[in-house]
Amino acid sequence: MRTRMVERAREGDEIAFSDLVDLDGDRCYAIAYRILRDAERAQDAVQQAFLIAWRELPRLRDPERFGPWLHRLLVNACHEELRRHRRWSTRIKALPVDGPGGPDTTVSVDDRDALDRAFARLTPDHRSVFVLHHHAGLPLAEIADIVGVPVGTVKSRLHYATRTLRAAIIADSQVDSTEARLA
Amino acid sequence: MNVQRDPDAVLATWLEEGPNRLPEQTHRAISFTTRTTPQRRHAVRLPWRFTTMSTTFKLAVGAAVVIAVVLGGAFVLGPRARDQGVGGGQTPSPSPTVSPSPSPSAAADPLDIATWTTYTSKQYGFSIAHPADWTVDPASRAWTWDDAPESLNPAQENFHSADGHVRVSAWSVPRDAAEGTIFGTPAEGWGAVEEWVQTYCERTGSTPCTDIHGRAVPLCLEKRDCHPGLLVPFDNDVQAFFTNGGEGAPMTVVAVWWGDSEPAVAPYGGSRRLLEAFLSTMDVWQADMTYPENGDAAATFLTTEP
Repeated sequence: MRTRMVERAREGDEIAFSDLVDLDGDRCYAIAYRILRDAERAQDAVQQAFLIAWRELPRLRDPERFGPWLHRLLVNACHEELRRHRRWSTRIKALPVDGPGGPDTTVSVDDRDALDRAFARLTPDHRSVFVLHHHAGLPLAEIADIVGVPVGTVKSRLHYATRTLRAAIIADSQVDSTEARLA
Repeated sequence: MNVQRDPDAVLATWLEEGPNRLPEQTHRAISFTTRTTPQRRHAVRLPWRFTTMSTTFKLAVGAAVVIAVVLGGAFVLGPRARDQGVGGGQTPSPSPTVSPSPSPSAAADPLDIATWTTYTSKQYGFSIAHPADWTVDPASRAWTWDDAPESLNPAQENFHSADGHVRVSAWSVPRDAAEGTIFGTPAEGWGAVEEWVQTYCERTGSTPCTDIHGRAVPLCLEKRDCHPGLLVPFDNDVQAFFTNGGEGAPMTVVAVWWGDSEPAVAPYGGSRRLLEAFLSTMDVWQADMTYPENGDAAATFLTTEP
């Protein structure tokens, strides 16, 4: 059914394309938000990706490849957003205050802050690979296809990004621990 | 009190935080732009009637049809009729019917490089000119082999036509010093460039990578002697490759992101002619040299080999 939609959209059927936006829009937005960590810029990136998808769709030879192709456009649009706004200064936003004694997986204000900062230091390439794998659940081979690099490079980027973010949490825990001992 | 935490679980929770639903306003914006943006048509899938072609292209097609009809009519009428027409006899020549017809060349010539604006790359060792009404999206970083050549790649100097339908990119691809120079006789040099393009094609996923030799058009850097380059048509774009010949000097690539026969590039006479126009405006110099303001020996000029 999805393939048929792509075929119809490729022939210029706007309704079929709108159906594809219905089908993939939420997922694209979720990915874009997590790469960009900004709702408005994520909306811009999704809009740009779908615009290019619509314009270039007649050149997509294999409708079955619409998914990876759209993801590729989305990742490029996100990179473009990051490039356009790379000089932005540190943004300060109000974060909800966590209650005490939460479960292990609770993301405290400090964790979130540490992760946001560590994630902001990652390159767009590292961010994309990390989000596509850990959030979108895409296999490494498909990510390699999307971002246009060998699987080995994807593995390396994923490893680096994960290690960096994990280290941010651990460092934050050690600070907490030290502060607890001193108290 | 310190609480033991599982970093991966925290990371996973953090990653899942955030919106998962595309706002309705964005959905509406996409629908609106879809309605107002024409699709690019691939040559092999062109409908019998061009619904998205530009006015200029319509005029060009119209002029071509008129010329074909006139020439065909003259041929059918035979030598006598043609002689009368050419000799300015009693029969009015049909040619005046053609000459007032608007054509791309009757309007401002988009390939008149004298009117173009020169752009000097801050990322790479070249300058290149583009039509005055085009916009430039400068490269924000150096191109690496992890990059894919495409019209929006931020590692490329990307040029967009005023209507956004035509995109041209230029960038340099690093070569190892071990790869040596691409010199020798032109034939040897073209062979070396072709070999490099074959590798580039396979590594970057360009298509097709077969019969590059059969499709490639030789180029020469004309400043002193022929430093070889190649112009290669691919499925959906036409790219040119050349180096200034220094040891390990990068391979510079210029691409028009349309096949040669696409309607979008018809006002420019096709992708190849547009690419040749861009190439003819280029100056290339060694990466470790400053820009040759006086156009001295480091500058190069490209034309296609006759």
